[in-house]
Amino acid sequence: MIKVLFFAKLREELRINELDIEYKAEVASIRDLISYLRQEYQQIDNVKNIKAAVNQELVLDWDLSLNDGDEVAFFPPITGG
Amino acid sequence: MVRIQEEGFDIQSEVKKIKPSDESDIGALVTFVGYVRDFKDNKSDTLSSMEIEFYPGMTEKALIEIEEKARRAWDVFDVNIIHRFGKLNLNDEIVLVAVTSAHRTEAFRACEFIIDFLKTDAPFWKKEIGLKSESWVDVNKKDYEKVNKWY
Repeated sequence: MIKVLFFAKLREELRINELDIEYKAEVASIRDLISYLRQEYQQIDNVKNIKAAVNQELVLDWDLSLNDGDEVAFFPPITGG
Repeated sequence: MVRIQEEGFDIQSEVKKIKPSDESDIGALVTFVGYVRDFKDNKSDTLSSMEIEFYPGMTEKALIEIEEKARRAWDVFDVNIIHRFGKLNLNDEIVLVAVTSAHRTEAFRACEFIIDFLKTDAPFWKKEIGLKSESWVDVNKKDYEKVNKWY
């Protein structure tokens, strides 16, 4: 399974906090995963400059391979402080 | 030390934690406090509150990493970082960064470094709730320019 988390505006647009996705070829990378998610959640495109974290580390290379059991988070750019 | 909490904090008692009155090697203490302020560009609305969201687990790790980077770069005694989440009101404290060192230069640099990186690397998101409308805060490009000057 891949655990997917959404935060802030993305969480509100998708109306979902988290979901579990079976690990398979269609979700082998972050880029694949977001394409896969887009089929059901077209609202993903309402949020600009989405960032991704894998196992709680920010990832800039969206071609990074995912592994079974990974926690992947998608969120808008950070605006704290 | 790093803390993420819903409740407010007392600046004086948080400062005392890293500058106890019997600690005589500390020559400098620098604190930064960020507050909820009213809209700057939107004159047609007034801010009533703010909601702050974070990523439990990742946000703590990111803050700890920022503190460690600052400690590697400057000779500081102690660091106290607090960031609030949940619903905050106008004029509430959002964030505290306090740093002690023997001399002011290290304390100033480390404090500025920590708040600059906190703005771009620690996953927090702010939503501004006005009397008429609410919206997620847009990313500030200047924050990224500030971080880049540290490299």
